[in-house]
Amino acid sequence: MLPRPTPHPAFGAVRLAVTAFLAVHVFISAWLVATVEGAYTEGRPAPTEVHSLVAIDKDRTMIDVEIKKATSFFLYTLIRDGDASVPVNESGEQDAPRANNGSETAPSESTEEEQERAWLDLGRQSVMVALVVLVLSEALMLTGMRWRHHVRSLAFLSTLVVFSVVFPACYMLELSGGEDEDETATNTPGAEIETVSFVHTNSSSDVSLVWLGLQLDAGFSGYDLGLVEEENRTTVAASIPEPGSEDASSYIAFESTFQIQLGQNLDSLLILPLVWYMLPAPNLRGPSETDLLNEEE
Amino acid sequence: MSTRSKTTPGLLVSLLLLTALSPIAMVQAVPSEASEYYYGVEYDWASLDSDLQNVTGLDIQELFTEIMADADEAGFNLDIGQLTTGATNVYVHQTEDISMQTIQDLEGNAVQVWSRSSDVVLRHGLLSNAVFMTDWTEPASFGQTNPAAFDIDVQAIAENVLTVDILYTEYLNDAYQLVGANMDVAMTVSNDADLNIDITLEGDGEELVVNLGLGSDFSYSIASDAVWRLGNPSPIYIEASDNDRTSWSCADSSDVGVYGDGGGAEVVDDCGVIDGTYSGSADYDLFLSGLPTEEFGLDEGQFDITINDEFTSQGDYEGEADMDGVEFNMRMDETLSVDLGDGTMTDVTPCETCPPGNPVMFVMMANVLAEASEAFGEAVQEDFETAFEDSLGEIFGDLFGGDENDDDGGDDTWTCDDGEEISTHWVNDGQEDCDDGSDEMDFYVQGEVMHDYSSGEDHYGFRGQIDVSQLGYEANPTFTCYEDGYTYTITIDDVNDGYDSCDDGSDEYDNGITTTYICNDGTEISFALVNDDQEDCGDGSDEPVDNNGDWHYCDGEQIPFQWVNDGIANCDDGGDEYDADNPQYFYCDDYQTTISFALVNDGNFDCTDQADEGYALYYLMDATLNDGQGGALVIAEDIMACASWACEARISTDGGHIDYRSDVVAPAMDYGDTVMCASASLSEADGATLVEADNWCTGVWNGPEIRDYATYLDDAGDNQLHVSLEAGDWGDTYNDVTVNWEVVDTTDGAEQTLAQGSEAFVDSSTVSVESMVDISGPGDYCLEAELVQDGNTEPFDTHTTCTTIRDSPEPSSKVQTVIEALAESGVDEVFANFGEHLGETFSEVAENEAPEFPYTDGMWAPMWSNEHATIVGVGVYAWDESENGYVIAGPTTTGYSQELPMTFASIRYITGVPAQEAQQEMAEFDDLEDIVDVENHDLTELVDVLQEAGADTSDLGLGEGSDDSSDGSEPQTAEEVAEDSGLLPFVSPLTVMALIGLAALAGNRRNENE
Repeated sequence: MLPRPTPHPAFGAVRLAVTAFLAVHVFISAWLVATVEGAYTEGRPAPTEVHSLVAIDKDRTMIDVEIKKATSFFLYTLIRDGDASVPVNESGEQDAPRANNGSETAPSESTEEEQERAWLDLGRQSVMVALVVLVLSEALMLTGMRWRHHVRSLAFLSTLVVFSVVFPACYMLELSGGEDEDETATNTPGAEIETVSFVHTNSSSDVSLVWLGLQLDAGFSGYDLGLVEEENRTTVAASIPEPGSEDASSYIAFESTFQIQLGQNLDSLLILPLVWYMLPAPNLRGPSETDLLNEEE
Repeated sequence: MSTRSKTTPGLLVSLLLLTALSPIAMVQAVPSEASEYYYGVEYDWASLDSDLQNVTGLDIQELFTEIMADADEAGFNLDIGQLTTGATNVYVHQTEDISMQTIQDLEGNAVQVWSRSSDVVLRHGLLSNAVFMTDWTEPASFGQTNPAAFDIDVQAIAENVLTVDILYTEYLNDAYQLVGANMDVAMTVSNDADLNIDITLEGDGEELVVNLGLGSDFSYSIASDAVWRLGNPSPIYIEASDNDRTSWSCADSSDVGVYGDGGGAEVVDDCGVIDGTYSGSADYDLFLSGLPTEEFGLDEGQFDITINDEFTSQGDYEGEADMDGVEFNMRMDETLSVDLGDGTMTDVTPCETCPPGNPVMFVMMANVLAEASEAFGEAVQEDFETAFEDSLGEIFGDLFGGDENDDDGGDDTWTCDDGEEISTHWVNDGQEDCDDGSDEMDFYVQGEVMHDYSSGEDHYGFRGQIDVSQLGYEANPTFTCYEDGYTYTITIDDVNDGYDSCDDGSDEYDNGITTTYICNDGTEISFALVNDDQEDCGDGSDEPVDNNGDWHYCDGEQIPFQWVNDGIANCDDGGDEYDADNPQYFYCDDYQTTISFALVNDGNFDCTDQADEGYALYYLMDATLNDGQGGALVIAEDIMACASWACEARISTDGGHIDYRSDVVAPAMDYGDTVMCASASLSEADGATLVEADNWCTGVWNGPEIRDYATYLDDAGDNQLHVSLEAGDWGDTYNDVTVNWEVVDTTDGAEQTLAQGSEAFVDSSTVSVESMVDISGPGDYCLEAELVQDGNTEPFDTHTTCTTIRDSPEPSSKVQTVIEALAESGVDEVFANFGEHLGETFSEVAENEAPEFPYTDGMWAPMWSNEHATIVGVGVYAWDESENGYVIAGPTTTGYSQELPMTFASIRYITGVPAQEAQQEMAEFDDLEDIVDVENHDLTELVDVLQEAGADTSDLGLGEGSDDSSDGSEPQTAEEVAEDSGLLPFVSPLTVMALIGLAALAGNRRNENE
């Protein structure tokens, strides 16, 4: 147990200043950082690599994409028939004919956009509210209100939860576009073609924890109907092409690592409990701050 | 007119003058003393503006100022500035090593040679900045609270670097003949270009801000070590020194020699082989940043993308050396005496067609770089073709030249011998499309329908191609025409035929241009004797080859001469056989001699001109034609084929064509494509088969057809499709054909007809349809067209072309608002005014006369030295009205002043030690920063110009302390946002914990003290 100074009235102003400073620091920092490291490992677009970095702050989503060894991918997109439209289900069996992309009745564009943006806006509002409450809770410590320590602790924990759970969840919800899987494809490099015209697909995923975040390792492979002659698409959709055959060259594999982490400055919020400890507030009416902290521990 | 009497002193002077002016052939042996010299040319691109002004009178900065003033007058602000810094430096170091060395020639034989080397260093670097800033705000008006405005800043930055290092060593024998050369060459090209565009548009209370950055970086480098050995020692340097005009070309060893024509020489060599190793690399990097993500339906922010790749390869190559097109044209009227840097004067002759260095080195460099680059490109292409079965050529051909949606039923494929499939259209089209070349056959025939104009009937026939060398035919000798430095050949039968086959008429002796002819064996005859039916060259190369032999004329027909008196009556009247009962006579020696017909073909020459004995060249052709279903159309046997008109099957010995019209009358063909399959063989008269053409099926079209190139369906906007259709024939007219068409909506696999129509041929050769069709919106649509013959239901020609109409991206409401506000703001009037002012400005510029130019004539002069038998320097000379000569750039030259009345090009020419030192220094440099004095690229000059014009340059990043774009501005990329945002620099969690621990310890100590 660390030694602790005696409470002093001036500590309250210092704590409030530090809390406000950290709140602003966190507020203007990146809140969430997502990275995608992907590579085509087999097939015509191989060995193209895709590196993507997404940083989200209080009002913007910045996206950097780098496509390395891009010529194979470029040629692949040139020869690929983007309208390959023999529809198949997940088991590779042919479905009833349907349109390429837009045959299903889709919500109007504006409604869809509103839904997409609503999730991230909701997350941002949650973060802003949490930070404001955090600062207010510290200001509350200057008063003699009962349960102020509990309020501050609750505000702090809420802020952590908002940053680590609510906001990432909102981003994931927006990324997935609600329930529309096609939108996932749109936002994930390489995913659009996988979900539109690939058959006999295999996919794997493995989720693991990383410091202040999650990591998703995913693999995908399948036969790209866009590379199959139109007259052969039904056959390829029905059965896996013979190895060595012309249609077998439509096989493509893509491996990726998707990592979503809290912004690197967010851990500075962890300083606050130590600030509380090092700059204790006087126990005006209720139990001492030390007692409360001891209870929390 | 004056006359002069010849005196002895006069003759002596004349002889001395002639001796002085004639080319000095000093290159017949190994030099007695090795020479070494340096020269170089440097250009500072900072002088570009002033040089341009000197030559054209155009002051770029002044022009910018006037354009900016035009903008002010039109009502908006415009500021333009540019800054260019760069250097281009070329240095040449030439040395000779006259000690005899041993190398291997092309055959591997050891030969004794001496050598001389050229070490060339080229460094070029260019750094350029250009700025374009403009802004405008709608003039305030009553009630206007949100004026429209734009503010656009564009900054372009370009960096260009080219480096070339060549070490060329050529080997010559003791007769000064070129045996071969070695070359070590390395070349690097890089080009970086960035464009930053900051746009702010305002209107109706909305503001659209876009900060786009885009750029491209390309680099390519190739290095090669190459060895070149000629098939024969070449006298090219000797001939170039001896003649005013010398051309160099390559041929088989049988044609090697030196040929003369009209005062020049043509050196024909077996140019041998260049083989070497290469190492190549190429990379590119394209980037686009600042795309506003909200315009793509994403969260507000920006999207940056970078695309790059790199390729490396190394290997070896071997290819035939190609020296064609090399010419040495000397200006004998302008011989110069120049200082090569050693203080002594050397006589040189300007060579109009030479590069500024050893011409042979440049030709070898071109060969080496071409071969190495081709090998590198093929290696890279092979890597991709491993993954892409289609060749890259096909991919890009489909992308740029083909329309995969078009279907005219002509997609038949043909299988090559190696299994590769190609389009049928590519078979026997003159270009090898199969990897194994099997699509181009040595002999083929295809079925045809040929019109007999005498009877008015159509007959089945054969037309094809044959490699006539397989039949023993010989190629005619050729004559070379010259035209503006280019050469082309004609066959000898076109020479002296009364028609100008060469553009300059040099093929006709009567034109007085060509007086002598060099036979293939090297002998020289009068040009008047060429193609005069008498062989005057020992090898007969002055006359066309006789590929016909001797033929006997019957009454209206010809028969091979060997058929005369062979016991078989071949002529209809039997006149080819001696009839003792009715003895005939044979006329020969130009009808001067008459002999008994019995003596013809008796094995003895009875005529002086030996016309009584002869032999014709002919072959026998068997050919079959069927309808592709097994039904025979023509079976022809023992058809006489030859190069003479006497044969039914005619062979063109120059073009290799063969055609034969059978006696079988072809019935009226149905409209459309009729497939016919043909095969043939050619045999000697004794029946021995020489060549065979396999059965090959092709289509013969009859009637009009739908013209693919004029039949299409495209988006006309406003939910309409434009239909264009054309069908027809280039000759005949029709009355019994109808064009049917329909536009079908095939979206989602449906087949809904949206529009249709018909158009009949009425005594016309062409029918066209133009129509607009309404559609419901985005989807897949096809135009299906067909031609139907009256009375039939099945079309004889069909064509389908499809198009996909997609949703065009809708700009966001903010963009629409701003654009609409700008459109209504009157900005178009501002631009119209600006256009008018700009037109006036440029008119004034065009009317401005260039400054008075003190020179009246000039000369670009690569300097040929007969003493060294190569180019030893380069210069630019000019003369004024008084014919005073000046060295604009070049070595010190006798009779030419270097005190220029006007320097119009800031080129620096150096020789000797300065050139040596500069070359050695520059050879170490590869980067732009080394090649170019980048410290002189002072952006503050650019800023000053812009600020003087009233521009706010604070956001351009050009001024002092503004290079760091993150200073005081928002992070612009995801990486910057992730790593650099916040009030504090990032500190690792462990460090934070450690600091807090230290603080706690300090606090504890304080408590204890208290």
